[in-house]
Amino acid sequence: MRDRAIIISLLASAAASVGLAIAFLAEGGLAAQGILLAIALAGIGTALVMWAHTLGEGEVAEPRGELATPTDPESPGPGATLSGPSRRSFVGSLLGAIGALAVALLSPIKSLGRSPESALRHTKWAAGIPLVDADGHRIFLGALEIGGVATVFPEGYTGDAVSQALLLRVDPKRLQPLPGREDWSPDGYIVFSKVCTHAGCPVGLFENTRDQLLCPCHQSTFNVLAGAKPVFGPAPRPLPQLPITATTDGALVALGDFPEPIGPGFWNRDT
Amino acid sequence: MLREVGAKLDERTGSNRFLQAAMKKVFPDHWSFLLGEVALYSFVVLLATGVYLTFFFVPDAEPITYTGSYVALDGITMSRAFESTLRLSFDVRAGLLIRQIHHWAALVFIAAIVAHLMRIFFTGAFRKPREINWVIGVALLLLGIVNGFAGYSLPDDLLSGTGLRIAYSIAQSIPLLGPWLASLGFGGPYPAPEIIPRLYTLHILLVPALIVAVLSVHLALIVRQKHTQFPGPGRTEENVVGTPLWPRFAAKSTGLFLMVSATLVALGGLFQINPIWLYGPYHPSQVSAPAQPDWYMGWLEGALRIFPNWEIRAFGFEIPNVFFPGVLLPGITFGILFAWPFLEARLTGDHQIHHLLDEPSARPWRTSIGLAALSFFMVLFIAGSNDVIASRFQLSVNAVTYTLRVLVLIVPPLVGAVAYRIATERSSGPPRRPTEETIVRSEGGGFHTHD
Amino acid sequence: MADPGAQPVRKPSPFTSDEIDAIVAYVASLGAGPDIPNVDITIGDLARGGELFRTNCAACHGAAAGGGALSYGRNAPELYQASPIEIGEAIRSGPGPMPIFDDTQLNSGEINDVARYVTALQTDGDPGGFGLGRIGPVPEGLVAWILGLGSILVITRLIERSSR
Repeated sequence: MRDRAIIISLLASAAASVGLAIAFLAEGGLAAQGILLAIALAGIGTALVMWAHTLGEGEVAEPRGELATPTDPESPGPGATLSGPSRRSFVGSLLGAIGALAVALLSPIKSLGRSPESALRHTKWAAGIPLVDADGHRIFLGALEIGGVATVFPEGYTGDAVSQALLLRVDPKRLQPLPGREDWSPDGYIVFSKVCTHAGCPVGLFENTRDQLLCPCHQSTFNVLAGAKPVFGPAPRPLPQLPITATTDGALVALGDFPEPIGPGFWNRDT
Repeated sequence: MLREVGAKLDERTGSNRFLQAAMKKVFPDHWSFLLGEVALYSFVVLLATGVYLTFFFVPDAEPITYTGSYVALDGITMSRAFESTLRLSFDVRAGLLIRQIHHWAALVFIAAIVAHLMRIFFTGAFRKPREINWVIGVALLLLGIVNGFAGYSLPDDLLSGTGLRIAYSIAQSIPLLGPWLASLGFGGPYPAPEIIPRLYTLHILLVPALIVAVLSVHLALIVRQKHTQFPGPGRTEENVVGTPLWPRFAAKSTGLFLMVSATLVALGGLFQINPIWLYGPYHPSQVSAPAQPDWYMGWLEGALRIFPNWEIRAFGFEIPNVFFPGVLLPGITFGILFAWPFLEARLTGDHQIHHLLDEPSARPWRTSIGLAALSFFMVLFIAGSNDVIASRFQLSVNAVTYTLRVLVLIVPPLVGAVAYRIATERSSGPPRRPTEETIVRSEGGGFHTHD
Repeated sequence: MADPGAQPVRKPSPFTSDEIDAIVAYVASLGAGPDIPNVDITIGDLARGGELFRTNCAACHGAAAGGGALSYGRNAPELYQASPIEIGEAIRSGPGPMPIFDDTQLNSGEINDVARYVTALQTDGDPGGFGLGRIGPVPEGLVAWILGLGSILVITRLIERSSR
């Protein structure tokens, strides 16, 4: 009975292998190739397991023996040969020299990366730089309805990861601008950094009926009317706000860079 | 014929001495002892499928225009890494199959390691003389997780790119060295396209080489120290009772390898995984929801989601929010994991050699602590999918998050307390009457009960 | 809708097509609002639609249009039953918490592109097999543990039992 099962397994496997070759050459579907290969493998595997049952004689016992080496006064072992004051001081200075070499050999690591300091503190935004959309087109007053949102970049830096920002339009009467920022949002157009202050994901969700920006990664939620203050979730700081104004022909331009470093924190962010 | 080959080999290398000793090695029979092998065989599948993938993947973030057969991305500009993954998936024969087998194998590989780790933990197999092997095992878990993360970030798609952004922020949050370490690792300020070829070197060369080296020591130690076994008839601290390596155990084990491979192949052929063509190429200003890492990072993701928005700020310096769930939590977790055998030995005062395993209920402290820890991480895993839970079950994601913040604090001690009760009642329950059994020794030396 | 703040749910309409037209005409007579857009997916550019979808829509609706959670119980719904006209209407009128995208942001050609892409997402199969809802790593992890390791554990028990 078992022998017959073994033969059947092996035959099924062989048949599947032939089928697989055909499926492969004839560009049959993914599922067909996968199932045939799986049957080919499982057929041999099942046969082997069943055949293993017929082998050998039940359980066998093997003595463990001692793990530790029996001590032998004739051969003292590696630790002993390094003992003694003169040997110890040599080994000590040897290790010191090797340690110094190891530290020196670490210096090429510096070429693996540049210091990120200025990149963390400054984006490409500056006074007078126009806002553009993801296709590089300038943005004018009237571009958004109240309740609209667009991802914007500084002109010339479309797609820039640190400068990416969100242009929103809210009802100006409902805005509660932070002190000194009353002129940062012409006609209800307001811009915040799109880089979440928690872990850096783009804060892509705008819930316009709640006047909230929601980050999809860890659900940090920011109140757009109150300077993108965090109201839920793990984000510790508001999204930095970009000061903007409208030029005489209605183009939206920045008044300067963000007033603080964008994105997630780092140890000396405030200095 | 095999005998002739063996004889010719032995004349030249003396191999028979080694082989004869090896063939007699005994392996105890218990299904849970095969979990380590399941992990090992998943790793073999990873290596085999991975080599195939390296023939087609291009680890380069330079832009290129797609002109392959997936029409929804025709003419789109994308990195060469993303483009080569698309080409492999749609224009290379069996490419998508191999890619999916590879990714499923990675998920199962780490799941098997975790299951194996749990078996070792709850049966006390990490005790002297096997502390080194435990440390090696935890290192293998860490290496597996790192390589998995590196691997699924290679295609430079929108989902894994978002994960890389988070990883950069977590590295950056380390006090003093953070910004420099992040820039060092990624090759510059974010977004650093250098990261793709670096991850490739890590994923196909450095980490697999480390895994193979460390695995070899892991297996050599098992051979040297011999496998542990459950207490039972004829089993003592001085012997190991089971199946000899040749021919029975080898045949069984090879059969298991083929069955594991068959399962992974079936998964790869039937279930879609990581459909990068739907996510699209990575752009730093785009994001998709829901956004999760692969399962083995889910506990970290959950911690990031439910940790309150605390930051420490003093004297102009700060420890950013993500440091606590992103660096401190995994640091403490792996610190305790690595140190566990030594911690337990110190706390119990037990420095004896153990080759016989514990029944988990015979060790109420260890078992309840282990189950409490497991439940803690389970809550974190659930927290990592809070938005999926909210949208599938029509719940408020805010309410789910608040609830999980409470659960993560009260569920582990509760589970620990209940487990402790059950374990102590089990092990000190009604005294078991010793049954009359005759133990017979067979000619091969093994023991079995004779009814 | 009894509660305008609640999540709307797609269900069969209690009104006939003529009744709906009459209601629309009446509401339109009350004041300004976007017209019902003319959406023609046959002239939409599929790849461009995908790019626009990923830039503007995927953050809320998911890259595979499977929907996603918003705050306090609201959802960006899945789009598998949305007709091209419904897609255009939603883009122009921003229902509920959805932002409004007017003509300067997405012109009518781009709406055709997006609608074409969403329709393709509805009709295209999954080249890799069972799509698992196209949700991502969460169901993939569950399948890996339950179907993957689960089957393997059953197999290991069978192997051990068969060798007794």
